[in-house]
Amino acid sequence: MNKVKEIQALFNPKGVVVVGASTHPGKFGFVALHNILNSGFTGPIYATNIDEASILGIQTVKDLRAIPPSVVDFAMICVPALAIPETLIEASKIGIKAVFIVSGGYRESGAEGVKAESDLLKLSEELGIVIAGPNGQGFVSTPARLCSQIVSPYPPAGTIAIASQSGNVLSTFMNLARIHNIGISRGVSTGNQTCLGTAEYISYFAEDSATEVIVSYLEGFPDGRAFYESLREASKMKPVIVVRGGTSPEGAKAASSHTGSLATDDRIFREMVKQAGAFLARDPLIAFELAAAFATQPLPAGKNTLVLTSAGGWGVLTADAISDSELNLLHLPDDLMRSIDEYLPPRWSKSNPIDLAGGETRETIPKLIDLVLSHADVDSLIFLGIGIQGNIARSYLESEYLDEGMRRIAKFHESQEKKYVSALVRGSAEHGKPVLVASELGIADPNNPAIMALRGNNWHCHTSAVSAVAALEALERYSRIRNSQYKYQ
Amino acid sequence: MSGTYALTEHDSKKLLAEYGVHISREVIAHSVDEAISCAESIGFPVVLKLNGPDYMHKTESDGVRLHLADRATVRSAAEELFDRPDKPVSLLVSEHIRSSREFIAGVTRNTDFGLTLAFGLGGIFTEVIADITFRLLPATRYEIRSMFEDLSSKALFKAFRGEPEIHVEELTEVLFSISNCALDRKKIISIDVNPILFPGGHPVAVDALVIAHE
Repeated sequence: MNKVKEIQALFNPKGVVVVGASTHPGKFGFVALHNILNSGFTGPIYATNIDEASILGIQTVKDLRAIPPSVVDFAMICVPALAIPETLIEASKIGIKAVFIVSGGYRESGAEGVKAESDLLKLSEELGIVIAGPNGQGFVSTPARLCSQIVSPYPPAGTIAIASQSGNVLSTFMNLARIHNIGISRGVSTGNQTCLGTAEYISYFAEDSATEVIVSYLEGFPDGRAFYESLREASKMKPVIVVRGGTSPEGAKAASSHTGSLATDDRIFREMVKQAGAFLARDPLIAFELAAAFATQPLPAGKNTLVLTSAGGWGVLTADAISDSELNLLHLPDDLMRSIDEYLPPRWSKSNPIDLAGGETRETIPKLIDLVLSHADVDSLIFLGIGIQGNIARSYLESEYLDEGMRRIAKFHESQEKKYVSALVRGSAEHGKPVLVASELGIADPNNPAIMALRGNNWHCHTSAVSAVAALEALERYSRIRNSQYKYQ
Repeated sequence: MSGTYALTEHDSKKLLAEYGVHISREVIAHSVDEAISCAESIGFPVVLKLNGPDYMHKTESDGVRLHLADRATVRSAAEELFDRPDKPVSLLVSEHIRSSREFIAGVTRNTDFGLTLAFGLGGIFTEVIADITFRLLPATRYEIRSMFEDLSSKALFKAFRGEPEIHVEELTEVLFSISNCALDRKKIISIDVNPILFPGGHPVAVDALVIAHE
């Protein structure tokens, strides 16, 4: 059985059955069925229930034997561990190829659970069924419009795939995906990884045409070498971001050599991720910032970075962050300097970061964006200060002093914000260069017209300029990895 | 550890030399007089070290005499070492290499990831500062070279205290050779090369310890 290939039946099933559906909205067996029905899956949906109750308009059946063969190939299993061996045997008889087991009661629960889990693996191999979980919260697959999980939310469709050893971290990612409108292709809670481990999911995502960026959260690795190999192969095709929990500073066991005693698990893991061409992120929020940049921006051709800002302090902090990074804060070429003079008031900064100096009340910003992006020396742009005019607009529109004059200006500010966003989106596409936008308004005020315009374009507003720099640094590094790693052997 | 054994320093280095690692010039002497004549043929100053499978950590057991510049100092140092209560059978007479920069390299078998190459800052602060980086093996020369960029001590690669820049290509070859030795000899559990010194900027393995399964 090629496990990686069989994952297809999990993420793209032709028909689905919920085993152990419940009439009670507080039970997993209800939530799972509700989420599957509510996410728009278009294939046949069945559910089993011991009383054959009608749930959410579905006439359930007593057990899998009541389902005609070859109609469903995936089962979401919400019955207790004891009932699972029989369920799997019945499932194989009607052509089910993949299951997700929500139930706990395995390795995590003691010696008997360990035995039950090894029996489960044996059975899956005998029956030719791939098992996701057990002891996981499920998965989402937006290309199949399938939300097969016992929690919320269901994220917007997109190109980021996640395999997470913690269901909660997976939810974090999908919550962020929702608020920022940065879409997800697949997201799976890997559970105990009895049959399918992180390495298998990564290999699947690497070949998956719906996925462009891969994220993995893990807390240990049953086979470190397999994980490394899958990471290395996947990184040749797509950026992979790894978050790891449970790092320990302990020295290597029984090391009789000098270097051996320094070879801590954590150190080797860190370097291993880098050697594989992947990226390590300290926490899921940073991982999201990186993934969002990879999912929405082209890779830069070089390190030269330009900062456009109408937010002075953030311009300074961004310049500092760039200086600390592998990126280069571009020294403004003379010809570019002269061209900018035509667009900005004489008091502009005359250096990078380019401080717009109030130039944003004029119609020149979109032209300036195009101008800097078209210059051959500029590899990437970071744009700061978006949403400031939108903020004024909102305070006017909510003001008790609101009059016609204020309304007119509020509308002007709103339309200016939209113009900036279109100029950024168009500029990045036309010149094939990454443009990263950063403002705390991305989370502080999702209804700001600039933020709404970014979301509408499936663009990410990085929550701070420093995280935008970190993301851009990763893009640049990946660009170099792609260009060079396999040239020199 | 049971079922394992350590190669002597001399044998460890000879093995690494077979794979192309440049090692310090050295000869085994079985008597004080032999030590003196070996020192003369190698050229002063020399280093005397306890030789044999029982001396894995010579510095800790006070088994090293450095910077012996003439016959007389070699004689008294050799007499002192041969006279120890544990009665060593032989001594290692090596050239004394002057170099202010020390690095450390090695290969270990990690439980999760298998053969792993290590490279980092050497010297007495090695464990405390732990400026060290790793690559899983096999690793390409390109990947090995990228290890130097990981270290804070990469600044030491430049010309330093009258010594020229460290020869990066040669150092890459040393690490590549150590890796090949470990990949090739399945019984090897670990290799330590400590220190690697840089006379004239060229890497030389001055001490090494290979541990293997029986």
